[in-house]
Amino acid sequence: MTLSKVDFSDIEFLVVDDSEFVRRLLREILFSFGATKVYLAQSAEEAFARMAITEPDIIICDWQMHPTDGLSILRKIRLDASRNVSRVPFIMLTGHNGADDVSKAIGEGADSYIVKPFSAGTLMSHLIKVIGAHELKQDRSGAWAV
Amino acid sequence: MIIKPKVSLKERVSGPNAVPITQLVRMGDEASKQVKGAFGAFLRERVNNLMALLPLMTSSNYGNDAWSAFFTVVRDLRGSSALAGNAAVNAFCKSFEALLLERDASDPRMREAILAHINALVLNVGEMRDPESQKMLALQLSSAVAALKDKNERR
Repeated sequence: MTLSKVDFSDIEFLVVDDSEFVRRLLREILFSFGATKVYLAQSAEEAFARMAITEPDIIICDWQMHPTDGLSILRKIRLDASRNVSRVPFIMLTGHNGADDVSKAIGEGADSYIVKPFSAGTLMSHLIKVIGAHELKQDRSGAWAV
Repeated sequence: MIIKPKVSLKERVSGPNAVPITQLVRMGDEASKQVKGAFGAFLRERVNNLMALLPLMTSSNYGNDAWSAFFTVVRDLRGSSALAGNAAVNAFCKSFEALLLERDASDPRMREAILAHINALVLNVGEMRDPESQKMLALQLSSAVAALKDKNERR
């Protein structure tokens, strides 16, 4: 089923970028999309501190951050199988668009990859993509084993 | 262990209050335009940050907090300019990053090179829009950076 309408009001977004301008831009676009829970982090440290409080539904993270980059954040999230956050949809944001870079990010577990600059339409299409691909691993009863 | 049904993201975004995506994208475009339109003010603020940090940076204290903070501002500007679609500022900042990361801070021409980059940014704050001039300036800055001593060169 392709989504033609969405309601993001219940979805928790975590935006991780060391640029204040980028965080501002993403926040405003997401708010205009109807999101009400948009948390911002300017570093890996802040991102993990936020995730310790509440698990986001979708993470949008810049790759080129210093000292800990987005790829390192992604790896750490995916390796922590003890928590549901290890399966959270993760969109990598970057200024690089080489095929090798894309493969690397997807290979590490990114669900999608957006090259800057991007439009609101591009962001929306990637959000719809990761939401559509997000699958529950269910047991026979259809329940989620915690 | 608690086992309970979990609703998928798709189900969670498909409620009765869902809004057509085309409408949301239009609103997103408008929001994006407003934020990007404010890039000039952001650039001005960041240039002021750089000017405030410059007196604290000397060749003998390379790598200290002022240098780190300075680099962080330049890096921030590079990323932001890419997003704002300002190719000139982006090019100046890439050159600026190379200067700060790769060149020897003890090179007597370093300070002049830093000022040249800041001046290039100031010109953009003042809305120097001629693409050819900006391109020339970016090339001149790159040449200036290349002429400085590499920090990894053996003395």
